[in-house]
Amino acid sequence: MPVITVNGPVGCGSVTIGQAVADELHLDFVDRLVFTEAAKLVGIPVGALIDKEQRFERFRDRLGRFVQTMLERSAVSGVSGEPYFGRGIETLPPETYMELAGETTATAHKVSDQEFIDATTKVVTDLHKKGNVVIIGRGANRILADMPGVIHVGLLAPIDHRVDVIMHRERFDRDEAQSYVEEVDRARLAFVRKFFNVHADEPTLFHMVLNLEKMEAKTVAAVIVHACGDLAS
Amino acid sequence: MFPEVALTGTTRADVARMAEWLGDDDVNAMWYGLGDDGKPLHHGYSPHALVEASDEGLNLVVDDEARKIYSVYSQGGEHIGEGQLAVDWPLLEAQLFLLIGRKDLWHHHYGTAAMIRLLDEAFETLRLHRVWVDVPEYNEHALQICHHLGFVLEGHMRKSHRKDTEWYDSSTMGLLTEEYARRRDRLMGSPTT
Repeated sequence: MPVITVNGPVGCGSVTIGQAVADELHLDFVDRLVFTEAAKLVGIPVGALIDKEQRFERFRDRLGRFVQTMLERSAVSGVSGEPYFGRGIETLPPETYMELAGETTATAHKVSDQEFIDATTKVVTDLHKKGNVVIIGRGANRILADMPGVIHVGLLAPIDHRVDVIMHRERFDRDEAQSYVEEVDRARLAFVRKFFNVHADEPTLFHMVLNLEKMEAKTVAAVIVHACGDLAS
Repeated sequence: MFPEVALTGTTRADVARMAEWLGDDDVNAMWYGLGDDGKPLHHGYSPHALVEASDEGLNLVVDDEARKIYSVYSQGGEHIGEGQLAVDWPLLEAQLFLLIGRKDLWHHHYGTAAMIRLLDEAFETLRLHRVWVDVPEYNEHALQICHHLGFVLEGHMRKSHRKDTEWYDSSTMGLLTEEYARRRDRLMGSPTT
């Protein structure tokens, strides 16, 4: 009943390799389905959970939003002048325009960190109990860190290699792809740090770490399949 | 360019055509096969039974807010298929089903055009957050269309889909509203094969 977790930064080919391994070993393959099932447990739209994983903001975004918030509060309160250091800040109302208007999208559904991690943990541990599955990311290697019958695979590749992959896959130009990869990388690192208190790519979290720049995807998949022999013996 | 299609409410005549289409071996083979009673299986209702139902019984099915049923019509006003959105309102998501019953129109992009209309309905009219499909392995063309439309593979389950007496693998693919918004503008000019 092998269970394999595959983790790596965006553009590493986790999904392609995970699917190839699942096909070869006749296993189920689970990617974003972890979050859609977790969302059902919590009873909220999946976007609220994906936000937890993907929407960690860069510092300059947070700073930018702070400035915008101050400007909006200043405008709402009818106070002009320096928006965040000058006069008027004491009279700002507590809501921004967005808050005053009220959010109507799925992301308006809030879920606590504890609800999020409890639901994700339940889905991943249920998958482990059922067995015969390849799970992509979602902290599965930490949730199942000490479970028997599991192989944790880490993937890596230099950022230039991953940018090339994303350019081709998403039809981005190089700047778009570079920006996308950097943003997702930051979000992934922050997500794993926040919820599992480790660095996402710490090699001791894995049974093996494979470099997709140096190895063909099919070779990587074959290595993982071979390693599963250890679980059976 | 894709052919023009429109979504409309479903009438008794539409249901009768669905029953007729599902009785065709080729159409049925791409759908869900036969039930234990030998009748073709369908989602949400049995066309063979519903076509005989009272008006009240028919309306209960076609006006169900949790299962939005749409007839697909061509630009020429011909009924060519049916789409459904099985909506889970608390989660703001829906499972999408689409059958182009007119098999002479298969591989002419009517499926893709109808999918786009259903996705517009789901995301723009119903304001849903996620639409998902569960595509059995024997429906390669549906997998291609979903991939082309930007659906993301969320999971692949072995032997999870039963048709007749056989079990088949199936792929769950999902599309979020922001993913569709990014994809929508690029879609109309690039039909899949």
